[in-house]
Amino acid sequence: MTTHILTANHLAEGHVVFLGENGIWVSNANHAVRASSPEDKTRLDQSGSAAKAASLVIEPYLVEVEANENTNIPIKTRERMRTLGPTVRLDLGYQSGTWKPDTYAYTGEEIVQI
Amino acid sequence: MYRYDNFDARFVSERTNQFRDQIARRLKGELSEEQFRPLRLMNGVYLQLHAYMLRIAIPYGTLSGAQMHKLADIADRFDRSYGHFTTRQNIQLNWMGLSNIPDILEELASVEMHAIQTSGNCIRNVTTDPYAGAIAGEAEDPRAVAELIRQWSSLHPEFSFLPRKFKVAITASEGDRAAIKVHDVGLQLCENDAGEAGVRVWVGGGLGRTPLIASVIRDWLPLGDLLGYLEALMRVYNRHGRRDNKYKARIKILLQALGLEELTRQVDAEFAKIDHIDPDNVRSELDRIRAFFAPPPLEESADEGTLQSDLAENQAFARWIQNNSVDHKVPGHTIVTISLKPIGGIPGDATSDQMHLIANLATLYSHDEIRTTHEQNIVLPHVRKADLHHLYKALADAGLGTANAGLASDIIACPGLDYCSLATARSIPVAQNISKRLEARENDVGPLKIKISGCINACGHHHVGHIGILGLDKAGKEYYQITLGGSGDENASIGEILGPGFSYDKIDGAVETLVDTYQSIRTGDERFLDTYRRVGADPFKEALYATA
Repeated sequence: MTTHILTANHLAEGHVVFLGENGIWVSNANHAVRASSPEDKTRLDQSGSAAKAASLVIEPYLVEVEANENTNIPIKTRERMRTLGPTVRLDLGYQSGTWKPDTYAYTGEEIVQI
Repeated sequence: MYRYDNFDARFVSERTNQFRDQIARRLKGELSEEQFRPLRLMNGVYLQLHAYMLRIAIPYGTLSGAQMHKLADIADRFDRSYGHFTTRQNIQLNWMGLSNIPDILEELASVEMHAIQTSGNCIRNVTTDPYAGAIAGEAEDPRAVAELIRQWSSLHPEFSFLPRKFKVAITASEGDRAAIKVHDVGLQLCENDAGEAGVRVWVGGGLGRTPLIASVIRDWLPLGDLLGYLEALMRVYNRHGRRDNKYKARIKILLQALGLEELTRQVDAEFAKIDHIDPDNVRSELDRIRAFFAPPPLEESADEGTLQSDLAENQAFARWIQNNSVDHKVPGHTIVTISLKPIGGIPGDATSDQMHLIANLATLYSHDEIRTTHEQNIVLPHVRKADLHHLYKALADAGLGTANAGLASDIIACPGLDYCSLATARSIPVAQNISKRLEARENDVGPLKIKISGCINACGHHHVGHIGILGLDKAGKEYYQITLGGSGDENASIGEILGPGFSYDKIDGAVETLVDTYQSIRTGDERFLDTYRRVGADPFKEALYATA
């Protein structure tokens, strides 16, 4: 059975986000909610559609990951790069450790900055 | 340089305000992404792998020092303190927030710049020869005609929703540094047999998944008829270009479908109907624009200062002069290429500090003029020979003194999978590895154009590389196909696929084998391309696949 997480880009700021616990969109893929069953994947998809409709994120989609104890490592190179940053500039993107964008959640009614 | 008049300034300002409103409505949810997407694309805003990317237009690749300073300021304030110069002579900023973009566009407007039509299915930035107005032998400075086309095509009501994007390049030399034969329309300014100024029109060139060399659709056209003729050509394309399949929507496919004779007939018939563009008005507007491109006041001079002794004493400087400078049409002056390809660096990238420095040096040494090139370098077009050593030292101190223009490490590479959401493989690290491998012997190898694209869209122009590299995804792994024999110059050709591709780990070694082979079989002063055209692919295939 494959495991997926939900990713998107933040509408206003553009950076890559992942859906974490309690509807909070986070910048660290390791903190993303996992879905393995078809029902859970459908629920993730629906959360993405709701956040998109609420103008919090754009282009939400599921990403297959290798789920380890504390990490979610995307299977595809492209998606691994989205969790880290460019391989040719390790000082940029999340891999730099210095870029920590604000996190947001969609409560079902409004967008809240966490 | 061209300066905005009141109309231009109001036009850009109104457009900025309009897009500010559109962004605000998008952020409030009043516009869906589906509604907003074509609007943001028309203003140069893409969603890329890590964030939004803003592509800023550099019309015909010409910048002033103040404009370059502004780009650097924007990179510092709103991005990550660097910019990426592209194969369309534009600049891209890769870490944009949507909410900042209206303020950035306002900053750009303050120095007569914008991001209009740097994306979308419209007529894109008109590109030209980076040596325009400085090299000997031109029919005239092609930038005046490029500006005329820019004004005509900006938000042209008929041509804002074309079947697909449309790219125009223009040159005024016999030697083509603008790659006009791989554009939707290529224009070559030239005289007819009677000595009258006009233009030869090429159509249907392009790269991407269907690479084609353009055909001549009109051997000579008076300049007064240029806009009417282009309007007719665009109308035929707009009417018959396919909208059902974006991979078959460019004018090159229409040319294939109709044939040159029929396309010519239809364009001529449409041209005959056009009566709303008065050739006299076009000529007088062109004359008005030409005045902005008057040559700078350069004095012919045999005084080279201490140039000869500096060359004798400084080998690195001498190599830089040999590779990165070209004679100016005015004696005593030089056209200088500033390489944005440091060995092992990222092709086309410049830090904001480097951009500020280039701006200062342009003001000091090049009559405040800067050019961007489709090969992702910078040109200072009007440098006194007596100033060359000062210029070189300042550039070298800032990591901008790489003496590799036109050599193996002067590689065109698209952003590839490191940044681009369409890419299927990385381009930049492949370029970095090749440049490190070949650096030591590149002066002996001589002129060699290596071009790398990270997907079939061919933004890295791999089809016209002497050695072209196309990155693909094969079962989840990056995999690189090699083409040989391409060229984007006046003798343009499309490279031929050599054989099976190579993995990421093997591709730079494969390129080195090709270079070894060339060096072992070349005769006299043959360039790589000359040797390939003489012997064909077989010796290269044998070397590559015998050892693979």
